[in-house]
Amino acid sequence: MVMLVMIARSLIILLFLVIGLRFMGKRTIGEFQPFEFVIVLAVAELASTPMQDVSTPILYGLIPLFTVFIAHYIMTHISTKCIKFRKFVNGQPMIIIDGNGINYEILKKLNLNVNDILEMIRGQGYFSIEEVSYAVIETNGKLSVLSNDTAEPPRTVPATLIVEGKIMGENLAMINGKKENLERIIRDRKLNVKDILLLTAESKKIFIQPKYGKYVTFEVTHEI
Amino acid sequence: MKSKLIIVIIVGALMLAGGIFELIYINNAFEQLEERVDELLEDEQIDLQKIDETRQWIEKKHKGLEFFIPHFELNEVSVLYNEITGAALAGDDKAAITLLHRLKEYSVRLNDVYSFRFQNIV
Repeated sequence: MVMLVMIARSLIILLFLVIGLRFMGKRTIGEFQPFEFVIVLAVAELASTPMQDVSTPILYGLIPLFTVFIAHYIMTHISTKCIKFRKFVNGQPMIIIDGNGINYEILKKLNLNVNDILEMIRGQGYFSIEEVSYAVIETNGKLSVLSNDTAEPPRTVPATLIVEGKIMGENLAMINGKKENLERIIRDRKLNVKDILLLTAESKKIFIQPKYGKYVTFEVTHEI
Repeated sequence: MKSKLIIVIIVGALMLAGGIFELIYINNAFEQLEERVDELLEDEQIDLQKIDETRQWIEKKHKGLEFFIPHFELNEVSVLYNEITGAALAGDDKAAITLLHRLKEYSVRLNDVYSFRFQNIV
């Protein structure tokens, strides 16, 4: 008998969930704005309890569900009318890569690290920062890229040798590089390892992105 | 877009109206229960007829309250009242009075838990 009650309750809640989610629109999970993502998480939790607990009135599940859906509708409605409110709720797109390379301040602001950015641009088919003129982190967390057609794409995957002021020993060993050689290259450029946000090497081509300032690329004549 | 707005307004209004109705219904039910218990306690001796009337009233209210209150709390009220009935039928007025006091306190607390008040919101 309890099983039948659970089935009936689950179907009722599912029906209202579908109605509510259809009401939210046709966005896919990857396109959710931050507040929509919060709503989906809350809805999942709200829906599950009254499905299982037959001693709790079903209204305990349905009322919060509808409240959340109505709140979402009202927030979306206000967002379309008021840009300030939209910025407050959704945030705003941020340019993470510009003409100078990676913007370290924006990176910190977004709680991202260099590896996240490299992963994101690789996901878009770019294997070096040079290939990207501009990259924007959208409010839904996705990366939009404007490619730099003047940059030559790398022939191999560049080795990441310094990330956020730290030498990646394993990567250096993988390309048979030596720490002393790498430090000499950095010294020659009048830089300090700690000031480097990203250093990559592709054969003898070096890419250095300082934490503050424009990136530089050059070729080394000696071994790394 | 307009039809969605109308639906939102209607559903929102229905929810608010439902919430107010529920609040009044629960409050009335528990206040009536308190009054009935007070009446039973005012009598010098336990009145078996009144005990039975209240039992029937609780049974009726139980079904309505099940839509709004978790069932185990209502079952607690019913079980407690049946203990009172049993004690009264057995002629144990002292036990019946003790349990009536307990039922009254339980009813007051339940009413507080399901009322719209600041302590329940935060």
